Amino acid sequence: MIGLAAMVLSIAEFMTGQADYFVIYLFFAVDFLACAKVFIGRHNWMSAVACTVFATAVLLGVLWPAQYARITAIAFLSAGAIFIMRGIFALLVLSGFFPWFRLSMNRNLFAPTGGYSEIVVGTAGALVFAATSFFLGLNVLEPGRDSVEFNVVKASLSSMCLVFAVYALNHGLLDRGLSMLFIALSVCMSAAVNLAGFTWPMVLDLLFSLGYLALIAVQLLRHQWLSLLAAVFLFLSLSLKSFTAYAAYIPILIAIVSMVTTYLALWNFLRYECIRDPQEVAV
Amino acid sequence: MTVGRAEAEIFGEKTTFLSITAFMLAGALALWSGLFYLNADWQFMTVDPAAYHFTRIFLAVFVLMFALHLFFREIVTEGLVILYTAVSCAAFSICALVLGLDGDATTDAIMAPGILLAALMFFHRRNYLLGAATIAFTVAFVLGQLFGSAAGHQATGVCLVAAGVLYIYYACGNLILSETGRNLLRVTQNQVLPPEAPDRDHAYELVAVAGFFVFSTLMIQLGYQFAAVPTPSRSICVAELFLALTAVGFAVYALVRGIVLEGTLMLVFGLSCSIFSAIVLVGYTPSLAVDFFVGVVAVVVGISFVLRGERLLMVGTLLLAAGELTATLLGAFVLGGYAILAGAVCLGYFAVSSWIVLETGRDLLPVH
Repeated sequence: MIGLAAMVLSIAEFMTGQADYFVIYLFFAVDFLACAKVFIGRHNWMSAVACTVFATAVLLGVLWPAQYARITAIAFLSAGAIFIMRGIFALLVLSGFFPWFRLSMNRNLFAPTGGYSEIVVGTAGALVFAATSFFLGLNVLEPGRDSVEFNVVKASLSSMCLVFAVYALNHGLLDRGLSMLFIALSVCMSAAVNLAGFTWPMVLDLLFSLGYLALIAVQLLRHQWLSLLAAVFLFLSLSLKSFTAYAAYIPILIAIVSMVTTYLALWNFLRYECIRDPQEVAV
Repeated sequence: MTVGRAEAEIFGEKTTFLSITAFMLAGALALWSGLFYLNADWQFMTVDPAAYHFTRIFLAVFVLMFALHLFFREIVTEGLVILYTAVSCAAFSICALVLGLDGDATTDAIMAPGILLAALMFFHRRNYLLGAATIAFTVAFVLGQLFGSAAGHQATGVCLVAAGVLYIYYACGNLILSETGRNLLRVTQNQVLPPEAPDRDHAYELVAVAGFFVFSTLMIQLGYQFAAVPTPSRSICVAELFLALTAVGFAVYALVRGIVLEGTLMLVFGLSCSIFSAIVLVGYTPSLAVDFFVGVVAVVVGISFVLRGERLLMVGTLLLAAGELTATLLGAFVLGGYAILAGAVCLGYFAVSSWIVLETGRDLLPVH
């Protein structure tokens, strides 16, 4: 999340000079707050403080755009310092300097192997997927921002998403893997085509959207309503691209997809972290 | 076969489940290619040809990746179909985008028998939908070679669209079936599965079937070039480079799994063909020294096959050696080409025989 946020903030600063992507910053603020809650649950206070600092700084940056750069810089410096101190402290504890202190353990490392892939895809994979959707939405929302930098970010984010998709498919999580694969392929290919200086053929999006019809049926038969909502909007956002009359609705659709996916990812994340027995995990 | 927890919860047959993604992507690739072929005559959409070839290469790389995934899951027949799809599309598009040439349909025609055989295997498994899609795909491969440009374009386009739609339908239907247990789209699955035996050597099966199939395809291509093409064609060389690198991949796999003789033969020949193709593609005249080296190694490997009692492999390998040595030492390329083609038939027969044993458990084409 820190890496993604840093990349987004840098690109935004580079391209616009100020913080005006309110929705994206809200996305990161919510994510960092969720991470803070998880760290509090683990009694890992320093990491929790660092995450809260990040979330606060992101929100302050939006509310106070004139001081955005200063706030962001202070937040990154202080959170980075906290993380470094936490690392040094952990090293000292592990070396036996403070024998009375016990480091908070990441109990999820002891989760059963079979369920681990589901957790990875359901949390980290879904978050990256949500971030990719945000960028896709922004790109459609502001056609003027279809620059080299934006395409590079799109390509990098969708490549990460592709990695998670292939991981999911390799572990038999077909519905989640395919859901990520189609959108990631579309974004990655369009970014690469734009970077190479060609015109992206919209028909290909229509072709990719066909896969979502099967995913819609799957989610419908399983009664997974939120995933169904995401699949329906992904289908619409890809298929409507070819019909310019409906292009104005695409950002709204993609924004909904991002919100649903972020909600699902955070829900999985918090549920996984807050339950007592990892065997109970059901993503 | 190692499966995660999620795979144990699927409905229906496991091989079908594992190949869903690959067929969905291969279907998308075939459909995309078919639409472009038809668009050339009917003009129903606006597509930048460069963007088309670029996206096709991108998709082909992904399809190739999933073909390898299938091979590593010991799913040979589906893997071969997917592999040939990726190689054909990538070779055509690289020719067009990078070299500015039309692709050579000869390569597709050479690969068509392998895909046809795979279709027959699918029919044997009573997976009729997949069989029909693969038949449509085979016809598309052959039509480009049989007809002239205009009629060939349209017929190939229609067949590719049909194959693509059928593959996507098959994959979508099986996705719904595997995930929910309901056959909403009335698709078929594999009914007759390859027999399981406790002493099966999956690594050797992969090398003997997929490895030797790619190897013999490569030999046919080289033999055809020696016998029928006066100067090396750059279009053919692109496809040859892809196939040669695939053969090198199989060789490395064979050597890692302790299959030394077959691995060595594939490695040396694959490397030789990749060097040959790469040199032609960059515009230089290839040296025949590497081919001479291949001939010498093939003689040694052939003699080793004699000692192992593998007569068919021995004949195929010695014919390859004879072809390479005749072409390099005597300059008799046509004669050498025919010898290599004869060797390709022997090794292709071995691959088909192993394939039938793998799929049906019956030794219909005995090799000893």
